[in-house]
Amino acid sequence: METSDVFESKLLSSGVQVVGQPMQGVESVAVGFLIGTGARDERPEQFGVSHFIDQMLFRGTERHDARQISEQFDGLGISYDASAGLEMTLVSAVLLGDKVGQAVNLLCEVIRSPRFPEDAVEDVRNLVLQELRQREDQPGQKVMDTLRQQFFAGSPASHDVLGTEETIARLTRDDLVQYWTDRYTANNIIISIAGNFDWDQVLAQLERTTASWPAGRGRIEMSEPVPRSGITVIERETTQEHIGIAFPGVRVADPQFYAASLLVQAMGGSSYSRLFQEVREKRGLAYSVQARFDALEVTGMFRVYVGTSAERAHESIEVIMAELKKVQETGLTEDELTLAKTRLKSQVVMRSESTSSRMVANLRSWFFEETLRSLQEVKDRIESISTGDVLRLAQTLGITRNLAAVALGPESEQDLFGRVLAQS
Amino acid sequence: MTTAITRQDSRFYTHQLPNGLQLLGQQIPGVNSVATVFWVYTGTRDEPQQQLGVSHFLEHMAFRRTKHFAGDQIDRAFEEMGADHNAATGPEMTFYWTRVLSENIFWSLDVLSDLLQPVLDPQDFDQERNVILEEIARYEDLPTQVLLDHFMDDFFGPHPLSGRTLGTPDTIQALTVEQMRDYWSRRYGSRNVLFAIAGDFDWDAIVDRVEQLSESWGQGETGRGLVRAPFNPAFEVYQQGQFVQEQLAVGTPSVSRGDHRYYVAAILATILGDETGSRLYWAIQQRGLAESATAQIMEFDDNGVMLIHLATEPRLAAEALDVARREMERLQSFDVTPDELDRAKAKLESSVIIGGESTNERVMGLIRSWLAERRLETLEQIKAKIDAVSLDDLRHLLEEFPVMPGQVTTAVGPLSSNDFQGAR
Repeated sequence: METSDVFESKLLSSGVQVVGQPMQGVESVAVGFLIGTGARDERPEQFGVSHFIDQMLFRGTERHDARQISEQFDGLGISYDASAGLEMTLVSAVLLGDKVGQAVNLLCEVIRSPRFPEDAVEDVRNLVLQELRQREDQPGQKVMDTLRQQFFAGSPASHDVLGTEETIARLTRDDLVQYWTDRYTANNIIISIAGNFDWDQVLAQLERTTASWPAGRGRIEMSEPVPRSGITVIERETTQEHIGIAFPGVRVADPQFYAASLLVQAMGGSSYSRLFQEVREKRGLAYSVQARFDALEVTGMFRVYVGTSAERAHESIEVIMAELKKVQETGLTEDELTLAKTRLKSQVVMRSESTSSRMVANLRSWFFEETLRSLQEVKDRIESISTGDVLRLAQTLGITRNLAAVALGPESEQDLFGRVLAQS
Repeated sequence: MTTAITRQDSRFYTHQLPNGLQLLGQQIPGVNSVATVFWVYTGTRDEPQQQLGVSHFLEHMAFRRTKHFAGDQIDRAFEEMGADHNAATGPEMTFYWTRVLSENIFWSLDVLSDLLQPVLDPQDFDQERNVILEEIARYEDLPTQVLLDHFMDDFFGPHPLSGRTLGTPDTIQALTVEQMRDYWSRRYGSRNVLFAIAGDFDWDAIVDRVEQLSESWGQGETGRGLVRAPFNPAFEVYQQGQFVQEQLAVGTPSVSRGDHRYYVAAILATILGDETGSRLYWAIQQRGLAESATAQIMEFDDNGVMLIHLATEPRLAAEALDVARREMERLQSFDVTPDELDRAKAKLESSVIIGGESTNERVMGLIRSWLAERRLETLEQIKAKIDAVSLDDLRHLLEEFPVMPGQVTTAVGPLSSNDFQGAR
């Protein structure tokens, strides 16, 4: 499959950007529409509006009611999804190649002519309020979300995709229509198609269908946030203590992006990673311990999560802190870097076998860097990183100086963190 | 777009080794990855009652030390080959899997097969016990897991399918390494293992290698006592004040694995409670009565369950349950339309074909085919089976396995049984 890296891209006269990757040997095709808007673009009184809208898109258009839309997708065997995130909203479908024309038309319809029926607004309001409460029952998710909100406090990067109980209760149909009118415009939309389809045919169809779309403005600029260190403890009668620790990362387009990806891979991306070995394999302190790196358009963040019982929580934090300190001082060994590279490259190749993964990878690549990268190029970039690059990155980030932590569970801040964070 | 050869042009293989180990394969053109599974026919239902959790604990011990590798060597080897890998335990199986680039297949087989030959060192055992206890603690914070455990108890009563996969803190504390060794030598014999591979590989070479690798394995025992559990409708409420939302499970008997009407049952579940476009979706989820309202078929060797799951707010729980029951009543009185059946078929068929493009999904598909039919089915054959389902088939299945009036209902969350008084 590596030889089939054929990319297409075209800016339509409407302002919509289209990227495509025809793939050999598959029957499926994945189609995605990226709308360049998400929680980061919301004003405080609008918090949650992007996600509210993604729930409204399939609830009726100018031509069809919700049931008719759903029946068309289902009848064609098209599975679909719409979800708003921090920086983008993704509306996508996976289907067999012979239905691509119908799928594109249906997606264009829900994106550009939703009707926002009043009764559906109330239903969605109830649904989102339930999602907010559901998260309270998912301690891991709650900790990681709270950690981001705290780490980027004061910046748009801190906004909660779900909004707040107050904003969701108050948003009106007018608010939704206004936000949609402003953000769902041609200049702010990228379409990505990967799999079994004919580029020229789909392109011609999109050129016609999008011709009447208002150009609008593009993405809303965002300035780089200054991360905030600090500790938040949410006391809760959970069985385990759920702990998240964050430190600064880099943005997607940063030359050190792959150094950061390799660093997190070696620290907490697998069962051979330092944190898994030190916390779980050597000491049996936790079942779940992991590290992740999330890059945004203008910034990035590393997050470590551990879930452990109260009596092991303090020691788990100490072990994690010692590892963070160590990697900041000495980086990774040649051996660790080589392993992390092998793993990352292998994942990139294996994921590329899926039409959905290719569709999303191309969307992100265009959204963040206005380019498309072949597998070979990605592999070369991973290969080019040296242990020196990783050490410089770890030192520049100032890991232990810029830590934020959130814990949810029965323990107090003093018992959990004591002097651990201060000592570092 | 026409392609010469697609992933649907697969070749299928089966072979049984002299030691009884059964091999299954699907060679898929045009992919670089290969997914493999060693599937042991043993799980929670095969455990002595006092040793509840031994299957799952044993699965953990496999990664600690094997005949040829120490724990960190296992973790390292998977890292060096860039593998995705993991293991899982359920009521009826324990399986170990990898997905690698095809150049690493033999290496991956060496390590993966050795996981079935664990050393079970007493020191490792005591340390891993802590990790298991942490995993149990973690489950207690996850409402859907708590719900499922209680539901299986309520539905299956004294039947071995009610056993908790992780065990309880008491059984795990009491378990000895000798008991585990005895369980292992009984249940991990070559006759009780299935091997499956999907992706890019050379079948003859794979057969040779697996034969060599499994040469010294004991034969062990096979089989398990099978009996359909008597159905006793019940309504059980487990009040857990630490959770915010109410979780409900509603179950009725359905087809067991191997029943030729599996796709009839799957279509019924799709019509009633698929994640989008189903009856529960329109009547509950879309109205904001529950954040999630789905139906699925759980199949076991001797039993099956049509399981409905609702995740909702305490104040809406009684109403959501009432609406779900009305939908089950409506299904039972049988008002399914030909259109509705066609849409459910289109959805299922398209997900079979699209899922068939992933080596991971295919390898599990091979195992499902074998467990149910003792033969391998092509995607075309599966499609044909789905296509053949008629309204009469649905009606007959509902006559044999009615979803109304009797059900087992389990509730977990802030509500007490008084709160459900009207609903019982």
